[in-house]
Amino acid sequence: MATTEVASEVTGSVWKVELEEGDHVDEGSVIMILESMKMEIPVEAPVAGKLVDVRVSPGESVEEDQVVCVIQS
Amino acid sequence: MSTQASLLQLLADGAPHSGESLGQRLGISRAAVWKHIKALRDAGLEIDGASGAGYRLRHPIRLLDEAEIKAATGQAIGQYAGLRVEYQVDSTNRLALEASPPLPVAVLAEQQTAGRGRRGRPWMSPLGGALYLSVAWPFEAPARGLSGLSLVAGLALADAIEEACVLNTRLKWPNDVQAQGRKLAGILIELVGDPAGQCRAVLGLGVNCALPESVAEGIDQPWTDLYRETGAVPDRNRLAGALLRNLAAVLPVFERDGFAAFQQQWDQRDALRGQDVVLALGERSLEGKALGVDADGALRLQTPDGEHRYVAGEVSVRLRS
Repeated sequence: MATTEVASEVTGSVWKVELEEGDHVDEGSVIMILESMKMEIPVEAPVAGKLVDVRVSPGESVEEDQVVCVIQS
Repeated sequence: MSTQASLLQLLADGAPHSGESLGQRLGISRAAVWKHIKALRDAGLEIDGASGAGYRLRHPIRLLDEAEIKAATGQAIGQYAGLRVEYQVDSTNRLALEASPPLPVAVLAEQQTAGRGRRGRPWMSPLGGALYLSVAWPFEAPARGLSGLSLVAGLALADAIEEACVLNTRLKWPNDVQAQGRKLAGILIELVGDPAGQCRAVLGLGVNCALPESVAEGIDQPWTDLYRETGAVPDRNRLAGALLRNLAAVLPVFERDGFAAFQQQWDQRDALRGQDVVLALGERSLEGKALGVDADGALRLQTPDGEHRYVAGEVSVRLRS
């Protein structure tokens, strides 16, 4: 089993989290949407698998390169 | 063109037209004219009169016209792979998000039935009352390289309004366009990445042109429109052309040089600099003095414990008590 950490590409805040821990994701599934300077930026699954860890919640600030969730495949 | 769109075109001049003459020109009965008039009224248009006396649009409008928009854009139209001008759509941003390559593509509509604002909020989109324009623009850079795009789009919009409508505007971070402290235009940007590391940015721009009172009641902040500010019916085709031209000029420069290339121009339009403001960040809010923006487009705030930079949140001018 491989684990893949998914990092935020931007500094911003979490607008909404679309999936929950335990959910299956396909490559390209939108896991959450971040907001930075009025841009809405989706965080997409880079690989298919199971979402095992969601580390942020709506309203929280995130930094560039911060790991926001983990996928096991 | 739908019958409703044709009827609107006949009424656009703001002169009175009898139900009978409208029916003749459209090839429909007076009763059918009345039904379409009602539908236009339901869509937010203010139409005075009744069938006998003649129907009259309270504020004449200029309908969107593809040929006029292209002419107003000038040579820069060559930088766009596609231009779609629609009568009614659910959301111009959705169409631009889903538009097939090649990009860039611009989508305009007279009316949106499900216009999108920030964070899924509805964006009031009455028929003909505003300019709704979404542009899907391709970037080689991934999302991280696009910090400040929001501000650059705001600048292009403010410049276009000034040029096409001769109106002084300022920008409220990150990109609300204001006239006399009231919101005149707004922008929502949605980014989509692709596996190759490229990125599609959809810039959704909405400019209030002549909003009917009935719609205006639903807006939760001080607002204005071009008609109220300039006293003239805005030429939306000219405005759209200026906007498409400005975007085509600034976006390639932004992709190469980043926001820093525009910081000085942005500063000149900054509505908040030097003001005491409140920044709402989710449940929290903090107060400080706005110091302008940095080279990435982040808001600089002087707070009691020093200077901080912010890329998220909703900022408003603090009212003195």
